[in-house]
Amino acid sequence: MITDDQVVALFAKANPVPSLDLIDPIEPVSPGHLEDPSERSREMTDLKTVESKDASRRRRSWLVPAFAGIAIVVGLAVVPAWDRGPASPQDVADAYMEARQDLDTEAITGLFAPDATVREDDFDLSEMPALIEFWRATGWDWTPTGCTEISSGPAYNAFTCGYEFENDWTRALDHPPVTGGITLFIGGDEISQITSLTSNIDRTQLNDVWRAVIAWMTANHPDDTRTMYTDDMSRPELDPAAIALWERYTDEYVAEIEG
Amino acid sequence: MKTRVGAITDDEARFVEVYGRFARPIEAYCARRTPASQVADAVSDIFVVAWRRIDQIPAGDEALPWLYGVAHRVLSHQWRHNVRSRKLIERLRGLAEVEDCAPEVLLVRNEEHRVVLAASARLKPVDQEILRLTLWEELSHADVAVVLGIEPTAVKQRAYRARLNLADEYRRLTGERQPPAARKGGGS
Repeated sequence: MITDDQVVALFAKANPVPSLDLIDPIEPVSPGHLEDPSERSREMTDLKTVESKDASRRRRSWLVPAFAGIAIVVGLAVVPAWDRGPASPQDVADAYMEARQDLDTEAITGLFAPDATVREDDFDLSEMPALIEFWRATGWDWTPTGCTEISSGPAYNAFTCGYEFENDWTRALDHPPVTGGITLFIGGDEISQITSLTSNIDRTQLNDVWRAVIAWMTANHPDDTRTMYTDDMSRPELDPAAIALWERYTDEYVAEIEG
Repeated sequence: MKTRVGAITDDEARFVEVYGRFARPIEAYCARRTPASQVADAVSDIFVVAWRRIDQIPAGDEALPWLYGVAHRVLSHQWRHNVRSRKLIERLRGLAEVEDCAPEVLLVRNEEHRVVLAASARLKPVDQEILRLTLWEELSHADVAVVLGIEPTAVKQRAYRARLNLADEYRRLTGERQPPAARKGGGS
């Protein structure tokens, strides 16, 4: 006799695509060739199309090949320019992830254009050196899993770069490495925009770790927590005094957890 | 106002980021529910909607359930179109049965899996989708609620009943009986 839970487990295993490795990689896109954003619909009626079915069908049928085709053509047109430069966009993307893994401040900051921007983060580029010091103090390890080009255009190439992340806290708590990704926009041989300096990881994967560390810090060093965290405890302070405390208390925390 | 970094508009950057992060899970979502020949079209349609509604895409990881919601509607639309097409083909060719090329037919080799998928096909469509979203996409009830546009409490209740009904249908197909006291205290 099979129980309810066993049937449910069987259904879970019947997943036709249990791993992304089983499907073909997605083609790069070139969003600049999509329709004018000013004509975007704000309604939930996109699927109740008012265009003819033939027109809809034509749009669907050329969209993916068009993305790929345009990306290839544009890519071929600009490759000679990059050949003259010191590095291809792919090299820059890979170099960023390697420098990040090495916590190499000079190498990381040298890869950014002077006017580079960060899209979604509490940190800005000027804080990168201090952020790296914080990572070093708390044993952060970003293991790159590869950069994939996702968009190609005349002004920039976009890459999504994956990584596995762990630090002294996750290791002490036996928390498995967490995967994440960063999107880099590279113009020529410089990073012109990055989504995040820290991570695009699923924060829910690490909530338990953050909570455990905050609880321990608050219980054991309540006075210093004010120096180590911002007022709302949403991010660490990055001045030298705070980073010295982070290093000291991370060592203490790990020693206590590991007994 | 749209700011530009080089030639990148905010909208483009956002779209590329969303595409880069979520195209693969969306492709997998489609591959789990539609024949392989239609996956690329479905992914294109989903990201066309995403581009048109780029301002409405939630930040960070919350974008994925939102995209699954779009995917759910796109595939529902595609499925209705396919049913109409299939009926038309049957009439034109006089075929009693058109070959089913759904992904589970192509990929599922295990007999037990075939039976449990057949059992799931006997459930209401929304309950089938709740099972897939929770067990294949591994979404929380809150995220499933975003995808389907229903309340999280309703998802929780439906998920519970869907699991019981799935087991009942499976046993019905295999001729097995329910284990004694298997649902002690259960029910909602």
